[in-house]
Amino acid sequence: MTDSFRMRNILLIFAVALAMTAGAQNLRRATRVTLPATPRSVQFSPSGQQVAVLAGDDKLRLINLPSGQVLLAVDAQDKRRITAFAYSGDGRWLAVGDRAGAVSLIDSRSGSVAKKWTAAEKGIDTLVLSADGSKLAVGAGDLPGRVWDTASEPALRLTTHPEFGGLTSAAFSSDAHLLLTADGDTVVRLYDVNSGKKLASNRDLLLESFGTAFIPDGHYAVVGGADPAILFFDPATGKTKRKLGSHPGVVDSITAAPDGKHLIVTYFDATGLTKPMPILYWDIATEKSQVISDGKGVIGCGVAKDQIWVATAKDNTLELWRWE
Amino acid sequence: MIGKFSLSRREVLERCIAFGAVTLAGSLTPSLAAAAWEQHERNLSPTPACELGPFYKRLAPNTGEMRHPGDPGMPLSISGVVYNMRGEVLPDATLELWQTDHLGHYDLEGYRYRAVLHSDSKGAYAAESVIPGHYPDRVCQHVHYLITAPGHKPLITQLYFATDPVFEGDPAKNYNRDPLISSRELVRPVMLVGDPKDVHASVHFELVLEKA
Repeated sequence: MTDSFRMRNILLIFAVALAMTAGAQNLRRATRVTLPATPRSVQFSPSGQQVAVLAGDDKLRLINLPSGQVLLAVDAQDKRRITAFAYSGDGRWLAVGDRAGAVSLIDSRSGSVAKKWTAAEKGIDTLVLSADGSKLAVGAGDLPGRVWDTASEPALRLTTHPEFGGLTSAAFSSDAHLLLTADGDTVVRLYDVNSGKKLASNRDLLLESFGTAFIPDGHYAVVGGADPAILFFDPATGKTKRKLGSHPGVVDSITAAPDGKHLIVTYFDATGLTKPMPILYWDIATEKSQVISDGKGVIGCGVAKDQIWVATAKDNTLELWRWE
Repeated sequence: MIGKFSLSRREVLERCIAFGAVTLAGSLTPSLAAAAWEQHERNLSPTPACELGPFYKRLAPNTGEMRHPGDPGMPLSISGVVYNMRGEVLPDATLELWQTDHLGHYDLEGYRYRAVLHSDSKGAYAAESVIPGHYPDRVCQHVHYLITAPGHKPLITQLYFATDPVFEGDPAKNYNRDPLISSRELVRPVMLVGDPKDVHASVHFELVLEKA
């Protein structure tokens, strides 16, 4: 790590501490649930009614919000470990991928498996469902990304075209007409989901990206990862319009806040990968950030019904926090 | 390799048999043996792929000198040859190598321990570096490779070191302690060279690309 990078981190930690003492908004615990095994990762249903939790016993549990009641548990089938899961934008569907490349589409209300198919030849790393659940983007190892049409019998709609490396992050536009991808070759691409055509690409980032999002008004697509800035670019042309720095670590995920004016950004530590990293709430206009969480014990973060949620885990206990 | 010598494999084998350097089993004729030998030589398996990893960086410098004078860590010379599956050398391959420093840190701001190399007329490549360090979340020391050559599929793989303490001296048995190591073939023997005052490690890693 260079001295300038170290100094930048020190200043940022100072800024984070200052923001925490200012305490404009705080995390308030909504519920606490004890599970049979340690919770490892979570996804919040955008409906605000439930959260999916993957625990150390390889079971995926759907938990009611805010009561914390476990609604049902989905087992990893045939010893195929669950490796990724994601809700549709309306919260109706939950896609679950395993290490054999199979994807199940589960009705989150009943828990029944509506569809199951082999979506990739490798273990699934990335799953993104469109708002209505009719399109599913799948990333698996170094394979090109795929988009499946899930409205009827699952059908392959689009295969992405990286020069090398697989899909590291993807996002659908709110109408599911556009797919934004970040690939291992560090290039960001935009595709027309219906025609499968590549519309634009952006090569302004030198390192891999792990977070992608569309700003709800469609004005910007945003992408961030190991590069020092988050890039805002025009989805029509792929051209960079602005950059947002300074970040405490590698961007792990970007979620656009429903107001279209803020980003929720999670990070990981490139130097150790184990150090807790803050979750920041960035104001796009002022480029100032507030701390949502210091990252300690955090296993997930999301937006549900215009509310920002954070999940933490300690031993077998899951705690769900509202940022208010 | 094939194409570099004036005698064919068949002619070499016939001479070896004549001079007693090779003895054939009773079921083999010289022509059968030569055909089988040629078949083996012309069907190299592609080098096993391995994950790209999260810290690839575009536009690395064109240099084989990843190690700067005075850099801490065990000096490492990496060399090898790039082939196609017929065993022919690929003189126009581009290799991108990247790794951590000896403490297990990737340089994200600059290009330390990142290099772009080009194979020479004999398909050979070489670089000077240090043995990379371990870091949390990743079991073994490794060097990332991205190899491209016209008419061939890009190959993304990683080089591992047989001396890595994780293998406890037995990489054949223990290579899968790192779940990312897809094949024992990627764990290469390490040769210690130089004199006692200037020992450094040397690793040879041959690469085989598949046709596009």
